[in-house]
Amino acid sequence: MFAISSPASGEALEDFLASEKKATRFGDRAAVIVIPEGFNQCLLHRMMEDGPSSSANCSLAIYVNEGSAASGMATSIIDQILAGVERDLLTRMGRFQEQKAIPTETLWVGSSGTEVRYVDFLLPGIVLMGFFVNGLFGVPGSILFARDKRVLRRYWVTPLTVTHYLAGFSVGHLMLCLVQFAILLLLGRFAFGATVTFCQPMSIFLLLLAAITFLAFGFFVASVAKTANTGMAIGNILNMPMMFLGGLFFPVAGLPLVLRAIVYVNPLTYLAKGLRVSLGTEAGTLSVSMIAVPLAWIAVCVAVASWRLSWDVER
Amino acid sequence: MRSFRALLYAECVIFARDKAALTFTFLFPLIFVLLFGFLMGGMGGAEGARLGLYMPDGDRGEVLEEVLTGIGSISVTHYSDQFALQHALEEKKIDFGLVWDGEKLMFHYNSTRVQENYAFQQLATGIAAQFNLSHQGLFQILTAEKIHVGTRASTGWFSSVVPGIMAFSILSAGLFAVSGHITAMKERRLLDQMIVTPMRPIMLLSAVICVRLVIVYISTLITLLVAAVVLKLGFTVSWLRYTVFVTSSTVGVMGLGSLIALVVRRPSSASHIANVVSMLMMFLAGIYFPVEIMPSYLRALSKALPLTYMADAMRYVTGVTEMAEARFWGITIAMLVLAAVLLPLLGRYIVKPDRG
Repeated sequence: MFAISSPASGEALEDFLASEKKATRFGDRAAVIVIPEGFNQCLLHRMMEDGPSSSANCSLAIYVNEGSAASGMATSIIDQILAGVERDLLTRMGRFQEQKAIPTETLWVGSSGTEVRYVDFLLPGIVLMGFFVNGLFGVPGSILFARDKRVLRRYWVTPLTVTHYLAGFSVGHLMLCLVQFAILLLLGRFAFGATVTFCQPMSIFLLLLAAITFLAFGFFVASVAKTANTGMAIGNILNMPMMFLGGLFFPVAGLPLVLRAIVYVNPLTYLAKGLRVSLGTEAGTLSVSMIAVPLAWIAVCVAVASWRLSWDVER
Repeated sequence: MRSFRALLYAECVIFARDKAALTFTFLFPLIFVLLFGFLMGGMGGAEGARLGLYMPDGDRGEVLEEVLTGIGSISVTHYSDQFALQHALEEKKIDFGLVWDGEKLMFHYNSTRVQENYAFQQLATGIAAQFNLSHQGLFQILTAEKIHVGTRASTGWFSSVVPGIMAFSILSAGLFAVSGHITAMKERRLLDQMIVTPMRPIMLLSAVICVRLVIVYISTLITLLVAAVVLKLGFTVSWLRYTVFVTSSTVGVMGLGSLIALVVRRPSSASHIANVVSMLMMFLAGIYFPVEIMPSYLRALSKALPLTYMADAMRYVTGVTEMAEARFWGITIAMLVLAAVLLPLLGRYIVKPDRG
């Protein structure tokens, strides 16, 4: 994770330290470790003592930038290394007895007893985000731009029916979701080492439900927007709040009441939770709401779209 | 000059009517700041972490209590049974739990807190190491003194997110200004009509740039103000650098937008590409997640993105982080160079008649 740079032979230590401290201050270095002169002798002296009363100072100086995430991570790593070195030294001196060492155990509450890696938590969310963005922008974009340019108008003078058009459009959209899913899965698995497996009936069902929900959502946006530009603006307004308040990337606990209301009506909340529960990356059990809420959204969106969706530009 | 004034007025009216542009410029950064303020406000490192402690054999817990007291930065809540501790952990009333039965230390974590558990695990490792020494009557022989080298106090991760969001809003406004707006004018053959008038392309370009500059400047100010007032975040803004940087970065990203306009002719495709480019940059430039948590190849990729440098410079001018003065001016000048090289290409694109 980190590269180590030491003073070059012949380089003045003060100059090196000054430049490294400056680099740490400006975020170009994570931390600077200074081992003071006489450190080894001091350490040996302390190891011979029985108590912590030594006046000798064998402390390392670690220069960090508290505002830098890299410094925070480097500090944690250095602490672990120091603890390991200390234990090793004391063991070699015969003072620390390894057989009396206290074992530690890690237990995970709220899962099948294993740690959930962030990439495994994130991947289902990214897949849903892909479906969501595809439905929110792709569906109304295609319909509204075609309508604005009067392409749809030309369709209706051919034997093509609205039902056929919508069926073809929906199948095309679902195929696009499938391709998107395959790309994200391969990327997650081979580039980021994700281990989560989607080959379970419930997960596949929820993915299909998600794709259909956002397809219907796209029809809804297309039906309320008068022009393609308005459709894109509506999409943009809905996109981020729904995405971030659906728990795709962050847990959404402890939000104010207004934001929690969005969480509760957001289909992404239920689809994300359902998908993660079915994949074992989130605690809990599958509930009816995880399917009922997206189904309700499909029903509402289809009803509004069939009532309002206009196939021709307004005169 | 009359044509410039007329174009300036026309651009203002067009912008006021463009719902997508208004959304991206004003609403987006505000939504981001407020959303992330509430979502990330409680997140952070292990400083002030809440530990739940259960010791079935309480008499043997004195040493552990001493160690926990010595750690200092955590608050400890005692539980009367393991089930109550696990329940509190699930309910997020505590951040992590510890059960000491006299034989082993059992650390409990909530598996849904995937982003925060790393910090709690580091803390737990420290507790275990310290307890192991104390339990055998030993003391720490190897100590490290942490010295903060910065001249600015740590302000927390979310304070760095806000300037990142401002940099992102400059990026999206600049990219969409050219890729969406000018390609739309091209498609509607408005540019073709304009080139037969005495108007010089530079006038149109200047009018677009002037309007966007003012709007982006106001938009970033509103974002800063909302973050300071609503989320109570403190910024020490260097107004001269701030103004220079917002100006240079806006024209710089408009230059990048011209690349999209030159490659893609249809406004809908151009907007989609601008959308994808800005989203990818947003996730990879360390706006919401520190770059340091990414794999090395993504960190390398992040260094190739202009948004990474824009966010760094914006954090510097708002007083969140420090930066070498030369580096800041290097970024600022690089953005101006980007504009100087790419905007003339856009000028040629404007005057090139569409024969499609």
